[in-house]
Parts: sequence; C-alpha cells; structure tokens
Amino acid sequence: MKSSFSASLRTGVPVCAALFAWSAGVKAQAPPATPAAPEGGTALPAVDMTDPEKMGKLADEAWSKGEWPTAAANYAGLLEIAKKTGAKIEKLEPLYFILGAAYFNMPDHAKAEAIFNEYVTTYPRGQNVYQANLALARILKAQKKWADAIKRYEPLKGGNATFKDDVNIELAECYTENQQKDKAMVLFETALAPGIRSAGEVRQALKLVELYHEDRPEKGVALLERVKRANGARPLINEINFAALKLADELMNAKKEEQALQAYQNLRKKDEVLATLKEVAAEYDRTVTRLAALVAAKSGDAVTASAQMDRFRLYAAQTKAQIEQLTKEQNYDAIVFFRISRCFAQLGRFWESRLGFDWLYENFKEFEDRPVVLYLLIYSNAQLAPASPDQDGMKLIARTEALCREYLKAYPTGAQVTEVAELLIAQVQKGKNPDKINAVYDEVMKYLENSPNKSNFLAIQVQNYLEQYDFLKAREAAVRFRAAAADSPLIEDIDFMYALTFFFQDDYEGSIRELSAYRDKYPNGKYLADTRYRLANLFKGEEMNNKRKKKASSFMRVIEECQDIINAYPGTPTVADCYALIGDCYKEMTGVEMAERKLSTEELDRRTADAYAEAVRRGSTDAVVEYSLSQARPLLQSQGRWKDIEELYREFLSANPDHRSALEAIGWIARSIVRQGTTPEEKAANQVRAREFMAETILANINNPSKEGVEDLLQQLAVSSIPKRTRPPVVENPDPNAPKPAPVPPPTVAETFAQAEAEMNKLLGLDAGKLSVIGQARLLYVKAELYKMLESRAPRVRGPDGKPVIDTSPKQSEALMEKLASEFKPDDYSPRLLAVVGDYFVKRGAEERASACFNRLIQFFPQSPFMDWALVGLGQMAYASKDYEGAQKRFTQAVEEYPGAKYGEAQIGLARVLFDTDKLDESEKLLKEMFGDKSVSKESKAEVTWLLGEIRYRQKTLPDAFNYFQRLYLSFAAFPKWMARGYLRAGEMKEEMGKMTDAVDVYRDAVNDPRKAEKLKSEPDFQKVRDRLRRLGN
Amino acid sequence: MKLLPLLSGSLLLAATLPLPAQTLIFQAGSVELADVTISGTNVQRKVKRADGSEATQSIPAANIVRVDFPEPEELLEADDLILKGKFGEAHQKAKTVQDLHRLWKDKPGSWYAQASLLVAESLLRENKYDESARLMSELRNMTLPANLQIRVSMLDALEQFQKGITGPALAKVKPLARTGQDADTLARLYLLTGDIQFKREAFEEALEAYLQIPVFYGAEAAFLPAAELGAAKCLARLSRLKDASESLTRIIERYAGTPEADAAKAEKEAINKLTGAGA
Repeated sequence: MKSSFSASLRTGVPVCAALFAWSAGVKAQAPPATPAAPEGGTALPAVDMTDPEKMGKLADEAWSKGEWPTAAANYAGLLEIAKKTGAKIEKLEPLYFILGAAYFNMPDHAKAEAIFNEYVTTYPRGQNVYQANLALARILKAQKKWADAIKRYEPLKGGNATFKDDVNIELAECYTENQQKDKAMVLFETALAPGIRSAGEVRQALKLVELYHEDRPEKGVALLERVKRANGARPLINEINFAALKLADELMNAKKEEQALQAYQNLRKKDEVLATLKEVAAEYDRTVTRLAALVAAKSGDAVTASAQMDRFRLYAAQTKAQIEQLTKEQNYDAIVFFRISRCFAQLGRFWESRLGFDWLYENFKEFEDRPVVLYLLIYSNAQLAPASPDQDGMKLIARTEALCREYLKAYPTGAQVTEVAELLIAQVQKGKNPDKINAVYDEVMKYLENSPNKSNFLAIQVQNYLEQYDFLKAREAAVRFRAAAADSPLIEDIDFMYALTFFFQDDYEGSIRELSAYRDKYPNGKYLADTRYRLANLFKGEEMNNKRKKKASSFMRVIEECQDIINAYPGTPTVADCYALIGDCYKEMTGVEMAERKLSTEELDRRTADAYAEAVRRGSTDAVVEYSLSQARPLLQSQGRWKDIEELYREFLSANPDHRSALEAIGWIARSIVRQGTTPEEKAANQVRAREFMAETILANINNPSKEGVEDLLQQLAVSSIPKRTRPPVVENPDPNAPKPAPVPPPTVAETFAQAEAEMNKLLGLDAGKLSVIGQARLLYVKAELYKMLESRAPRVRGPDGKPVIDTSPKQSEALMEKLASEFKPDDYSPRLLAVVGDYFVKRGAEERASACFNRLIQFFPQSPFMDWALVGLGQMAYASKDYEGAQKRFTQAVEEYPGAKYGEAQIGLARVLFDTDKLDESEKLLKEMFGDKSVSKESKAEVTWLLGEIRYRQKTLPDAFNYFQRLYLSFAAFPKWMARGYLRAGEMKEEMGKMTDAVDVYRDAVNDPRKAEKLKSEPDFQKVRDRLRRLGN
Repeated sequence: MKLLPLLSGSLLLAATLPLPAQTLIFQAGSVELADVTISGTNVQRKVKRADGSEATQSIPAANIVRVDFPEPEELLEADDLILKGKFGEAHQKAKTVQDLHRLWKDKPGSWYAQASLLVAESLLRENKYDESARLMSELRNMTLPANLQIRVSMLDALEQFQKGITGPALAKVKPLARTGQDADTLARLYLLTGDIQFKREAFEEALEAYLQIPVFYGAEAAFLPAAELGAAKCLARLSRLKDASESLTRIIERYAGTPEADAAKAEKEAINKLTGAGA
C-alpha cells in the first residue's frame, strides 16, 4: 500500500499537467470548444483486487502512459480496498484526487464529479482542493451549464498563480456563452491592466481581442499593438498572427480599412513564424532536459520539477505539431500578403499595394488566386501611371501595358479579362500614338464582347481613326459599329462621324449628302449646330470658288446662315466657329458684294474685327481662339481700338490663365493701356496703370515656382519702371547774350536703378510682405538683370584725354547676383533661377552648390524649359572631373530630350566627351552637323573647328589638322583665344611634319604683326607661340 | 484560401517559458542574479555555514553554462532612442547591458552581442569611428546567430554609408536580404538600404526599399515612421508630389509628436513651396 500511495503522490502533481493538457488541447478548438462526456461513462476494465501492490503499480504505469480507464479502475480498486481496510480518511486524500483526475481525463464526468465533490467535502483544506474545484468547474463548463460553471469558477479567480490565466480564459468563455460578454471583457481588462508580461497574459489578451472583434475592433487593434510588444509574445507568434488576421478580416468586411491595416501589420511571414517556433521548441527541449536533471537528482524541488517537465514536454510537442503543420502550408505568405496588399489598395495606397502584389506575383506561381493577384497588380500600376508618358519617369504605363498583355495571354477567359482589356486600352491611349491605339483596339476587342462598354470602344475606334486623319478606316469602323450596335445610343455620334469622314476628306458631294442626311435624320440632334456650321463652311467654299472664277459671289448668305446658327444654338461651341466663319466671310467679301450691301471698307473692317473678337470670347478650343485672336488683333490695332484690344486680351487671359499665349496677352494689355492716352498726362497715368496691371498679374504667380515666365513679366515691369527722362522746361532768357545754363547731367546708373527699384518694390508690395522667399529671389534676380542692362547702356567713361577708359570697378549687377546666390537656398529658386544660379556657381567653381541647384531643377521641374541648363551644367562638371560616362549621359539627354537655349553647349560638350573617349568618328559627325547649323554661334564654331583639327591630329593626318587650325586664325579672328590657339596648333603641326620654316612663318605671322600681337598678348597660347618662335631661332 | 482552417486548428498553448527572473545557470544548478555579486571574473554569493556564520562562495563566471534573462528594457529603449536620433542616450542605455553581460558574453542567452550592436550603432551614427572600430572588430570575431551576423554586416555598411561611400555600402547590404528571416533584422536592413539608395539619388530603388517595411514588416512598428517618411521623400523626388504630399499628411497625423512627423511637416512645407500651394 505504501508504495502505491507514494507512487500516487509522485504522480499527484502531473495530474494538474494532465488536466492542463486536456484543457489546453481542447479549449481553442472551435467549435465545439469542449467535447461532452459520454452519457453513462466508459466501462472500466476488470481489476484483480487480490494484489493491491500490483494494482498500485499498474495504476501508476497506466497513468504515465495516459491509459486513463486502466488507471481509474486500479485507483478505484485501491480506494475500495483502503475503505474496506479502514484506512484513515486523511491518508486517502491523494488517492481521491488522482482517481477524480483519471475519471476526468477519460472523460467520465459523472464519476469525476462525484469523486471531486467527495474530495472537496472531505478535504476542504486538502492540498489539491483548488485543482479539484477547478475540475468541477470545468466539468460544468463541459456540460454547458454556464451559470453553474461561473459560480464554480468565480471563487477560483486569482487563487493560484499557476492557473490564473486558464481560470480567467475559461471563466470568460462561460460569461460569453452565458450572454455576459461585457463581464468577460471586464475580467480580461482588469487582469491585463497592470501590463502584458507573460505568455499566459498574452493568451488572455488574444482572447480579449476575439471578444473585441464585433463591437470594439479599435480596441482590438490597440490591444494587439500591446501584445506584440509583450515579452511573453514570442512563443505565441502563430496565435498572434491568427488573431490579427481574423480581426483584420472582420474589419475589412466592416469597411474599416485603416484599422484593418493596423491589424494586418501585426502579421509576420511564415519563415519568421517557423524560425521562432523552432527556437521556442528548442528552448522547451532544453528546459525539459534541465528539469529532467533536477528530477533525477531527487532534490527538494523534484516534485515541482517533475510537474513542470511534463508540462514543457507537452508544449514542445504542440509547438512541433504547429511547425509540422506550418511547414506543409505552401501559400501561407501568399494568403497573408494578398490580404495586406488588398487592404493597401482599398486605402488608395497603391505604391504599397503595387509592391505587395508584385511580390506575390513573382513568388507564388502556384497560388490559387494568382489571376486576381495579377489583376490587382495591374490595377495598382494603372492607378499610379500618370496621364502621359512624358511624366512617366518610372515607366509605369509601359509596365501596366506589359502586365495587361500577360494577363490576357495567361487568362483569356479570366474573371477580370474585360477590366484588364479596358485598362490596356486606357494605358495605350495615354501615349496618343494613333497607330498603337488603333492596334490595341484590334488586339482586345475580342475580350470586350461582354463588356457593357463595347459600343463605346467601337465608337472610340471610329473617333481615333478620324483624329488620325485615316478617314477610310474611320468610315469602315463606323460601318462595323452600325452592324454591331445599330440600336446603341451612340449611333447618332457614329452617323455624325461618318459624315465627317467625307467632310475632312474634302469630298464635297459626300459631305453635303451625309451632313444633310444627318440633319434630316436628327432634327434635334446634338450635332445639328455643328452640322449646319460645316454645311455653311461648304457654302463658303462654293462662294470662294465663284470669287476665284470671277463669278458673282454671296458671302452674305453664309454670314446669314451663321447668324441663324448662332441664334438657334446659343451657348454651344459652334457659336465661336460661326463668328470666326463670319469674320472669314467679311474678309473675303468682294467689292461688288460690298457695294451691293452698301458696306464701306471701314464698316467691313469693323464687322470683321468684331466677328473675330466675338469668336475669341466664345471660343472653347485653342484652335479657334488662337486663330481668331491672330486675326482680330491686327485689325483692331489698325483701327486704333486700343480699349477693345485691352478688353479682348483681358477676357482671353481670364478664361485662359495658363495658356501658352498668356504672357503675350499680358504684354498686349499693358501696351494697349499705355496707348489709350492722348495727352501726356493721360499717357503718364496710363503707364502707371499698365505697371499696376503687370504687378497685379505678377503677384498672382510670383510665389509659385512652378509658374514659368514670371521672370519675363518682371523684366517687362522693370523696364517700364525705369523713369522716363524729361526735358527741362525751356526758360526764355530775355538776355540773348547771357551764357547758356549748363546742361543737366543725365542721372547715373545708380540713380536710375534706385528709382526703378523703388517703383518695383512698391508695386509688388515688398515691404508689405506680399512676396515669399521665392518671390523675393525672383525680384532680386530681375533687379540684377536690370542693373546689368543699365550698366551696359551707360555712356562710356572717358579719361582726361577723351579716350574711353576701361571700367574695372566692381559691378553692382554682379553684387546683386552674388546676393541672390548667397542669401537664398535652392528651395527658394524658381526653375529659371535654379538654372541661372547653378550656372553662376559653375563659373565660380562652386560645384557642390551648382549641383544642388541643377539636381533640384531636374528632380522637381522636369517640364521646365530650363532643363537643358541643368543637364549641360552637370555634364560640364562631370566632364571636368573626367566622369565621361556621366557627362555623356547628361549631354545626350540635353541634346535629345531637352533641346533649348543650351543646345549648342550640349552638342559641343558631347563632342568633347566623344573625342576624349576616342570615339572620333562619332565626335566628327556631330561637329560637322554643328558646323552646318546656322543657329550655332560663331564662337562655338571656332571651338568646333579646333576640335575637328584635334581629331585629325589624333588620326595622324597632320595636313588636314593644319588646315583646320589655320582656319581658326583666319576665320575666327574675332576670338583671340581661338586665334592664338590656331597659330600655336598650326605651327606645331608644321613642326611635326618637319617643316620648320613653315612653322616659323606661322609663328611670325602672329608675333611680328603688331596689331595681331596686341590683340593676342594676354592669351596663354600666344605666349607659347612666342616661345616656339624663340626656340626655332627668331 | 486555407489559412483560416490551418490557424483555427492550431492550439492556443499555455506556453510559459521559465524566464521571468535573471538566472545564471551552472552545471550544478542555478542562481538568481539578485542573490549574487560580481567580483572580477567571479560570481560570489553569501552562504551560511553550519555554525550560522556567513561565508562568501566564489564561482568563476567561466563555469556558467547559460543565462536566462528576459530581453532587457534598456535595449528596447536604446533602439527607440537611435530611431529618434538620440545617439548619446542610446549609447548609455546599451552600454549598461553590455557591461552587465560582458562576463558571460559568449554563453547562450547572453544579451552582450545585441547590446554591443546598439553601442556600435550609436557610435557610428555619431561618426565616432575610432571608438567603434574595436567593438566592431570584436563583433566580427564573435560566434553569432545568423540574424546578429547580418546586423554586424549592416553596421559595416552603415559605417561606409556614414562616410559617404555608398557604392560599397550598397554592395554589402544587398545580399543580406536573402539571408535574413526575422522581421526586426529585415526592417532595419531595408531602412538602411533605403537610406543608402536615397543618398545615391536612386530614388526609385530607395522607394522600393522603404516600402518593404510597411508592406512586409509592419509588425516592426518602430520602423514604420522612418520608412514611410523615406518613401514620401522619394516620391517627392520622383516628381510624384501629390502622392508625396498625401503620404506626408498621413505621417504627420499618425505619428504626431515623433521626429518623423516634424520632418514630414518640413518636407510638406517644401513641397507646398514648390507647387505654390502654400503661397
């Protein structure tokens, strides 16, 4: 007996672990959470009651193997014997407990409940009373007697450190099932309030996250944030992933994407989860080994160690099971990151979704949702692709197109095939390449059979061909449309476009026939105004024909038709077209018709100008507005109608503030304001008004660096702010012999500048703080330019001998430029200032600062007309530091993509790079192109000539090289630097050819001619010419 | 979509690793750090003799088999301080842990290497290369788990990056992404890669590196503000000003009070200035 009891004592503690094992093993399985005990219990095996010692041994062995019925049968037998033999009840406490536990584990809840009830009644202070009560609570929970279970669990709260987490979790489950979810939440919230520090608390927190799912997902998200930072979170990494995923999915379903993303961002990749679980499993194994040593040592802690050891064995086994299960899962990451990427997409964060879907597409070829992944990747790219390839440095349009084609090829019957085909069309259309657009329609039309937009696409195809001036194809497409979608609401559009194919093809008969057909078919058609206008145009053509053939013409009938259209369709774009046509008709009217209509030339001109002006006012397309403006302005000007010009341009500017002719319009407004005055006073007042107008316009744009052209306006303002010189009043002197008063000296540059500066500062509200740093920098730049202009206009200073003196005093314009460069940062400059200041830094050797300006210009203002300045500047600096690859890249870009003011410099820079990298043929080809280009400056051509000579020299064709160098001093005498170099290199060529006398002649020509020597004396190459001549014996 | 069944079948383990205390484990047993003092290279504890008198028992630290310490709070704080640019304070925090674990630096469970990495990083970020050199040399020669070896290589790259040698720095970090597994290491790695690419003005590549963090390593929340800020700056430099502006607004709102939110404000003002939006 003794040994049996001692064995029971030894295994008494593992019972807890077994309970745990059972409880831990089932409580997370859903549903059902807990298997119900079988009705009536499981039959126990027969037991040999004659040998208690053997019974004890068998019971212990069965227990350790988890053979609960055998263990229960033998322990029950032992208890029966013990009772029969009158064993003291207090000695039976462990046996009662282990028997209850064996029944519990079978499970035979009825017997377990009976035994545990006996136990708690008999041993209210027994060492296992807490666990017995816990078992009773768990039995009630398993029986779904929630209210009773709660009553059992509640006293157990906080009663035992080892079980506190499990008790809370199980009690919370009972509360939830008993419709007391709030109590469950409060239970967890109270337990976790001090912090989440252990794995058990992490488990509680995860359960609380589950409870928050429905009503308080925000709290769930916040709690997960705490959980993932908890020290005990690591072993539960898989569970955290699961909880986060579940919560995030529910938030996504509830359209709470922001919160869903936060929840999703708790998820970790499979590799990391696996690696962590493996580490955890290894730690469990190590712990088990350590505990096993303690148990073997039979020290004082052996019993506790034994209990812990069993527990960790179980954890290790369960972790390994997770590892095994996870290892098999091929698409774990795909599923996780599909959801995250989709969440980013729904939040409009397409940069992130693009990256996520791209990764999925590249790495999960077997993923079942691969077509959806590809579609969403396409969608993300399409959302990011800009409106035009010009703005598409990242080539997103091309990438989207390529992906669309991949989809159409791989999944021609895929669920998103229509959307993909439409996206492909949308991308191709951005390129505005009619051939490609038409080709893509042909390519994808088969995927659009079921598209609700099919007729739209067919119609667009007609329009595309029309815009491409491929009228025959447009007509064919229209015929196709009529066959495929005759009942489409777009049929009217197609009929109109069909008629236009004749009109644009100059098919007079066809045009009249089809336009008339449209007019008759659609008496209230949406293109009726336009149709009638085009017919009027055709009538004008008839009248022009009559005029050419000297027949009687009636342009007035066209004018009257246009007037009728204008009256019938007010507010339509056709009105402007009609006014322009009226203008054209008046312009073409013959003298005979004018006489018939009793129209004077002045009246005709007035009517013509008015018609064009009206066309400008009503025009909605650039074509009609620009055409009419170009016709109206000279007429109004010749009629002296400055007020009308001002109004016309003001209206134009107001309607088209960003039009490419906006600057021109501002200039004309200012000019027409000035011209409206008749008296000197009126003119002066108008000049003030013109300046105020310009200042007002400038102020609307000056602080926005993206608005190009502000500097030009500022320069206009600066020039108009220069005070006009007034003649002093002539005073009649009664004494004709009196000496004439000394002439009033003209104002100095500084005085003139000061007045202009004060006027500009006032107009632009500098002191009133109307200018941001960007505006201030612009103003300063223009002041520097103004000063430079005034300096250049100033009369030359003459010495006492009357000869001009070279002014070497520091220039104020340069001081202002220095101020602009030193007192502002690159952030403060507009594109033009970045170009100018960058150039300024290059010339002063401040390369880093120059780079900062140029790089900013390239990065932030790629549409600027000053892009070539930046590219050339960076190219020149790269060339100077012998970074030929970088230099070539920049110069090539400047030449090919951004031809502008620096085109010549870019070309010559590129030619130099090619020369220095021994690409002589390419360099020569480029230089010869430059030589034939009239836009290349003479000085640049000097450099071109020199480089061509050097190419020949490197190719060892010395006579040819000599010819180029000779041409330098013969044809480019205006440039001493190149002239001197020409003499030097020409002489050197002769020397290398061994023609020393010829060489001496070349050098002498430069040195012995006093005029040439004077001109070249400060050139370093001229000094070398002198040295050569001296050495050669002259 | 099989994930839910997979996870719902997984067990919510009652897994509690026995790590709450700071334990030194010897072959013959273990002691709590609180119960001992460190003297030279020995661990000492007071024991009571049979006669009731006290004696000091001294055990060479070399006999320690392993140590069990929870992750020191100081390391988390040091990490956070580095992200906030407070390198001096980070150095102090990490150094405390480094000093404590120096005696058992090569034993399993020691936090010496992790602390040393943070000490070295704080020195490198302050350009104190002479001071970091010795420590870096020691770290290179230590036997470290793969994730810490990656961190050492990252510090080598960081040093080059700090010195403006971006090409070799990039060459060093690129292969590391293939070997890393844990989100913490990879988030650090991609942040560094983004910084290097940004400095090289390879903004598209920098953008991709920065975005790895919110998309794939969002669990490492501490790195999100810097990564999102880096991505927004790249977008601005790629002329995607609207996208950049939206990202910056999000950073300002979501990470209010952080240095990244302040930097985002400045960056957004610069963009507004550029587009004239703020004019």
